[in-house]
Amino acid sequence: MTTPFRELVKLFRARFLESDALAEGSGYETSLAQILGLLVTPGILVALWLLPRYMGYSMSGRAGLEWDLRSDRLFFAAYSFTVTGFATIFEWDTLFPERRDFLILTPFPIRMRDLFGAKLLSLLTFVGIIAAAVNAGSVVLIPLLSTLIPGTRNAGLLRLLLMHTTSCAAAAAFAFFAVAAFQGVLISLLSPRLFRRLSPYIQMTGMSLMVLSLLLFPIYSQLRIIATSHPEALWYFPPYWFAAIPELFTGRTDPLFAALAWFGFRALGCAILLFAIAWAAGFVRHYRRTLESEDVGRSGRENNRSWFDWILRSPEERGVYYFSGAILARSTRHRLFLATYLSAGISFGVLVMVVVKNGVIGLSPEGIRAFPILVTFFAISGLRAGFQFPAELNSNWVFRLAESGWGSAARDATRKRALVSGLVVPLVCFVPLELFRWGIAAGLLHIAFQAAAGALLIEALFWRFDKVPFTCSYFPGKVNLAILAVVYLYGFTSYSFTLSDIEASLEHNPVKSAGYLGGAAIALTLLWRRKPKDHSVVFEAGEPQIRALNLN
Amino acid sequence: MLEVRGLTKRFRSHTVVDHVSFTMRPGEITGYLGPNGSGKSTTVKMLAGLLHPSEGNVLFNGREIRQDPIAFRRQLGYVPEEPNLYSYLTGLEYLQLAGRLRGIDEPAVNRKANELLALLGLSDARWAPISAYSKGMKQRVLIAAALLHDPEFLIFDEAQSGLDIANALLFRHLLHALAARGKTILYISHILELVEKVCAHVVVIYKGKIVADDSVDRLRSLMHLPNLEEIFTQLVKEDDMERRATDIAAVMQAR
Repeated sequence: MTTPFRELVKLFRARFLESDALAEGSGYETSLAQILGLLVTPGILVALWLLPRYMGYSMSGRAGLEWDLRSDRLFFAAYSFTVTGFATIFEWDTLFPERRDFLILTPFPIRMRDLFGAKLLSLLTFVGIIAAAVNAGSVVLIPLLSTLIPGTRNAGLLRLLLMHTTSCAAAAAFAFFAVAAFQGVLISLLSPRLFRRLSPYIQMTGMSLMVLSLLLFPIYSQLRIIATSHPEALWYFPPYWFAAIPELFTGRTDPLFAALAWFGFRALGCAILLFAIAWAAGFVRHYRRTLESEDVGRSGRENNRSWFDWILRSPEERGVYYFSGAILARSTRHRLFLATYLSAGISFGVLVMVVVKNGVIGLSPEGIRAFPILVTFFAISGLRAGFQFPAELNSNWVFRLAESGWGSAARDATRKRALVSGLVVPLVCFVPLELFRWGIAAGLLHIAFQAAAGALLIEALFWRFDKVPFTCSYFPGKVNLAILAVVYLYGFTSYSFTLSDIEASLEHNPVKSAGYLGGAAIALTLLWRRKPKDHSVVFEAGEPQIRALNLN
Repeated sequence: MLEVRGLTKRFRSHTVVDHVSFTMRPGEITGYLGPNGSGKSTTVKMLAGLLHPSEGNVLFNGREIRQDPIAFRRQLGYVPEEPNLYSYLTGLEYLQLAGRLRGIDEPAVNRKANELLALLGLSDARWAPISAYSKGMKQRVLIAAALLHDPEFLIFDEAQSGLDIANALLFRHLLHALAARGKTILYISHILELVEKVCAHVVVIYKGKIVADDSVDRLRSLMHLPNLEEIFTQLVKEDDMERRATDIAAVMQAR
């Protein structure tokens, strides 16, 4: 029998996967199955990748094996922590019921405790499913593989299973409870308006940190070096705590790692306690204040003209440019999407910048040089991908209705938006780094070089982009992710490293520098004057097989 | 003048609009009536260029609109049935967007947008995001966006929906003012009293086909019926509504 409580759980559960980007009519189950499939795969792949190494260990043990195993455990704890944390932060807006939920549900005869319980249950179910999927492959395969190693075989399969599961589950639970408790505290302390204002920034930062924490694994997995040279660092990064839990089960406990494991348990307990207090208190307060609060507007300038107007030649260009800016500034999903790209870029940048040489962690000059180039590549390509995802697709009729051969204006406005948001903003952030690291002359040359290269990259990536950003229907199924990943990996590595080599070669050669910058200026002038044959804007990515009639 | 000739729309084998023909004249408000699912909105979407007709054509001032859809769109103001608006934008930003997309220069966009918002009672809310607007406020933004570029042909699809009494009255006067300025207006509404008051000419569609196309006065005298409500009920062969309402109440009370 369907009870109101069950219906509420179902409603809240479905809200976790609500998105502008989801295809019309695609169900919760389908979307969840696709996401879970993606999450299960890395754990299995890494476990299978470890198989030959573990088989090698079974034949001949070797010195330092324990450190290798610690690094392996660290990966699974970090993966569990990162993905669960990322999912929780991604669902930040739906952790508590929204104003819309309260407005819709309040007139119904629903008790507050049912609302609270249903939300909590749907939340725990959702996170539980994510954590189970993330760890499904490894909790089976890693204990099995561990039985191949003479030293750990004695623990027995059951104990190996228990220790790996505890480690991964604790990491996931900590990530969820810490984020949810943090939100509970903010909701309890801040006004609804301030909370809404801060939320996107918290989400962007949190997601960036989560992506960073996974991609920087090659650096922080140098456990032996860190434990000997910077042992204090182990206390600041949660995956270290939870990766140490299996040490408690093995019987050969290292005091440092045992202390880390107990610290992890205490931290998890604190997070759960804080979550219980802050969430319960915050829920009631959030309910009352959300209903009472009004979404009042900020004041603005009477005249919307800005200094950007000089680069925008026509009203249509201004329309598309400012529209894409407003969506970038206000659409949480698009901001999060770009934050993910940017954090991937920063992570790869840090990865090439930080080197471990003779047991000492340092910075590589080549890496420092490649860092801004890498980040701008990710920012520009992130915008290119983000522009494809529609924002409120139903509302694009205003563009379709007004479209009167201003395809070239839309094209120019899109490139200018990419130029300003994807290139100028990151480069301005890098000016202090460039000037400080390389001196004024070389630093300015670097900025000019990177600006020219970035502008050319925009022309290449947006060559066939004849759409208004965020207004075109998008069919993700058409993209071959495997090919895209290879092209992308090849693209950003060759782009950033080749360019950083060219940049280095220009530094002490003014003639070559002038030649390069002059050549780039001529190329850009020609490209900016390019008029594609088809001047109409594309609004449909392709004719869908089945169309909703929406007759009345 | 806008002439609709044999306009037909088929979705696979299902004909939603079946050879619809009627004419709208400048300075005249044409009411387009029909029950839910009769093909009103599909006709309107074809007129607005949001759907391609399977057959037939539409002539605006004697020219087939498909020959130069861009020129036609420049003359078109459209208030859709669903208030689909970019909720991330504020009311003013939305009007600025609509004006810019119509090629209006910046000072004129800002002036007209602010003036229209003020006249439609949205001045105080112009900096608030549309997501915070009530249905009536969204509707007023849509009306302002449709008028911003001084179009010759206007489509109001359930435009009074959600408007309060004062704004509904304002809208009624606005329709007359626009007609007096020679605009061609297609007005879709389920409020028959209002249609009777503002429309000189009504077109009734039922199951995709036109069942009446004449002035309200002529329909009254031809059908010997006192008002548009009676005419409509007769034309679309609706059941006895009073009886149906009683049946609904009976089902409600049944144990």
